Amino acid sequence: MVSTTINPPDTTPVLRERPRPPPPVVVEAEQQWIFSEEELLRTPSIVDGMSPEEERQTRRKGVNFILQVGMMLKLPQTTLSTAAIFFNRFVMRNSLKARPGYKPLHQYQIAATALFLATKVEENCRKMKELVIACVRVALKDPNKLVDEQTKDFWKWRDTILYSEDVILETLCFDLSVEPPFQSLFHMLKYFRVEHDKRLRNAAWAFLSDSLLTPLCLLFTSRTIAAASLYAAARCCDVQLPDENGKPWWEIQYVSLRDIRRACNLMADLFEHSAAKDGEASIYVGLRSPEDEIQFDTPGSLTTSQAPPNSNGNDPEEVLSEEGELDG
Amino acid sequence: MSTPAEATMPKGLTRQFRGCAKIGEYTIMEKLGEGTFGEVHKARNNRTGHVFALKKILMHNEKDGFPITALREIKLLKMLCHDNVLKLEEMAVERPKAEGRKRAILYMVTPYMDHDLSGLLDNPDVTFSVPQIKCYMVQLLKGLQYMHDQHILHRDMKAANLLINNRGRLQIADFGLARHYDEPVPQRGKGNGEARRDYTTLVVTRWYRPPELLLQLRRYTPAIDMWGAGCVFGEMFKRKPILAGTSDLHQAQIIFELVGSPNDQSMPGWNNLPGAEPVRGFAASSGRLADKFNEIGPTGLSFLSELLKLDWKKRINAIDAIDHPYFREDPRPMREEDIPTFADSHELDRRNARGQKQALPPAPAGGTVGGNPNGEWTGSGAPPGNGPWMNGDRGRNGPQDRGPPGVDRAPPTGMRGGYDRSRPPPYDHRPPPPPPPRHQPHWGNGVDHNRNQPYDGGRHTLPPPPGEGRHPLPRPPRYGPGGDRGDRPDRGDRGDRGHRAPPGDKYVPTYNDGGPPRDDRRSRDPDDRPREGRRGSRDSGHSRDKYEDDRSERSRSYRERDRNFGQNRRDGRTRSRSPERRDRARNRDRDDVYRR
Repeated sequence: MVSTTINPPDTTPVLRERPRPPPPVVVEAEQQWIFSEEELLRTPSIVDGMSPEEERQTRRKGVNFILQVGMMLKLPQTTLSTAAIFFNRFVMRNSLKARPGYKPLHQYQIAATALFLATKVEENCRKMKELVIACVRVALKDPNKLVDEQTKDFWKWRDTILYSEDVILETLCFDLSVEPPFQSLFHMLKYFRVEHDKRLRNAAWAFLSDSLLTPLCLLFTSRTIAAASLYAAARCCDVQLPDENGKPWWEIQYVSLRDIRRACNLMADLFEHSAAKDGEASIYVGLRSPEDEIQFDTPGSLTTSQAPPNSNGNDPEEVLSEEGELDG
Repeated sequence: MSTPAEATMPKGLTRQFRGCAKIGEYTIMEKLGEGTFGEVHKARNNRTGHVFALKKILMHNEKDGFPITALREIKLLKMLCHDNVLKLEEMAVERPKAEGRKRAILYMVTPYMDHDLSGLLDNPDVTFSVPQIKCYMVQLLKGLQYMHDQHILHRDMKAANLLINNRGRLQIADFGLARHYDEPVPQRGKGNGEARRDYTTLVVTRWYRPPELLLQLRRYTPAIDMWGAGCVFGEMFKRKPILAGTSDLHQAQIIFELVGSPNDQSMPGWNNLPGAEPVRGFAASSGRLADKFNEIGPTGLSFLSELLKLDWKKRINAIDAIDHPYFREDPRPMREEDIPTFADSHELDRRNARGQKQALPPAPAGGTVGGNPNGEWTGSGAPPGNGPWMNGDRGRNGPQDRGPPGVDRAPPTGMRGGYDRSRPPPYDHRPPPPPPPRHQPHWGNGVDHNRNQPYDGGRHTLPPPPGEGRHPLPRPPRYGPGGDRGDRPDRGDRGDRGHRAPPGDKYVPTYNDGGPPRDDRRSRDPDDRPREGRRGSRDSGHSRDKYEDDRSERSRSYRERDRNFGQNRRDGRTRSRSPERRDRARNRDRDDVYRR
């Protein structure tokens, strides 16, 4: 308002805040939710007899539910990624498969409750009624369905969300402060002053959106996933991010190259075979790189920030089209 | 995770997750305090034998789910780890064994602290020496420095929120009003920085509220917590709050009397602040800080005036405050371990001792009120579109559980005031009133009309000031009870409550048993202002025309409604209905609702 002056734009180096390592307490809390790939094959559902493929599919369905409800409610992506993380973590501790004496929550029920919680945690609250209506519509795959308090499903969903909330909170150990990867990515883009490079930004954003549908958040910290998306996007767009005092950019962001590559390779594993809409090869082709090789990496020798599309002819727009598929 | 692994099956995970315990792991001991927020008990961990304070989080309203203020506090506390910030050890869950689906009772587990500062100062048997005061101040500043460095504004700095144990350790507690701020953190020698966005001014208990907030500066900085630290510093010498205003205007007046009238040198930009108008009429004062605090010596005085500097841009930041010569001159700060111990002082004991002298709360902090974590769900009232959950980035209206244990609390009277659902919401069948006008500070003739009104959607600032018989020390119950005061654009029902108001007050919220006025806070940032016009827009399709239904429906439990639904269905709906039939059925349902 009055009295205050607007800070000079962020171009002055002084004002650019150095990235800091995440606070130790947060790291500690996050660490208990990071698993090995091998552990991901021993989740409670799999122990209960679900095949790993089916389990992954179920997770995907749950996250997709979150994304769709979230879009209906116009929720920001940070909130949706938080909800997806809550969902994935919950499934690490609870089986989705019914067995005698145990009736699991349906993945949609978990997803809806995780989203409800995420809206509160990320301060994007929606009215319960709106949330419930969106859930009913998405669950019934009828976006225009008339839903109101006279609809039986309305109360069922509402009860489920309210009664599952504390179960989820407990299961999540109240580890609510997840660093949304989108936020980390945004800070990184800003830090390297490339937030106005639309191609790079969109590509990184799209990689990140794709990663929501994968269990990547159980394998890496949010920061790593954000850095991996930026890394993949930089390779895609042939952009070189600046080193600082001889340190490569990921180290400035407290992320190791090895983790970035592991994450990229996993993404490639998952998406390589899904062709983009127009039938061209997936953007993930060629993303793979050996985890420990140092040479391979530095994306492109070009140092310009705006380089022509990279060699395999992929345009970042395609990446976006994949993101577009989320709303199915 | 407990299926016996068969030979072909992979073995389950064996990870131990930390952060959430069962209540059975604790042995509950005596009660430490109680109030609208719930109860605080002393408890012993059965495994380690350590003693903790357990704060019960009340689920006041089954419609809201877990209270958002509690979620906020848990989230922030979990991010902080510092010797001078109260630590959230873990959460504890109690699952009622009763039949059917029952919600769990959740507890916050924090270290057990023997006293709070305001309680100690209230205790005539306790005397503070200068080295001891310095020791507490250094700890307070370290905590603030850490917090500000973590991008967190406390926004409720006051003596009652500073907990002290018998080993001389001071910890900042009660993060119910705290929030993350986006701007760069304070740097050595550079003041507290500048804010780039608006925040709500409905924060900080009045007696500790800095002048810029009283003048409605929305872009405030960690400097607001530094002012509070200055008030606490003075309070440790005077043994009572040094700036105990009876209304916001009065608060501004006594601040300017103490430290001097604002002018372009002492407080650049004050004249342009939205709340500056009434202040222009104040008699000029050159300040009498030096007279009032002559006992603290020249360096101490310089330290105090740095903290109580009107110019929020020049007010000292926590980093520089720690380095102030005051802490390096003799007598030096005492070491924590040398501080004498005192008998426990907790709210219950003190309340008993004080008897009739029980304080009225100083009106607190800002805002809001009302205690319903989310307007619309509480049942009694917010018109849609005015609900704090509309798309804001902080839906606020906070509920009860404020603050950590050990801090003194309001008497339990009227505990569930506004939540009493037997009281029909006054607005039942009326269409929602128009949204109130944007708040304009309106301070003419010494009475701040705007402020004393009930919370109506985040536009009003203050809470009812303490009435007569006010005890000099704040005993703020922190939460206003009641959804019924919630964010209703309250016009109509002010009148019928007015009779309870103490003289000078326009409004004091009602409590079922006529308890003292509560501390209302919870406020909203500008960005979660109700968005008029959004109502019903979120494709509920029918929310607008169904709205009246909602309201009347709200007074009944949804179970009941569910039953009705069944009936309605039986007497009318069929599985295959055309939109027309369905509408007809719906209209009939609505009529039914009114008839019943």
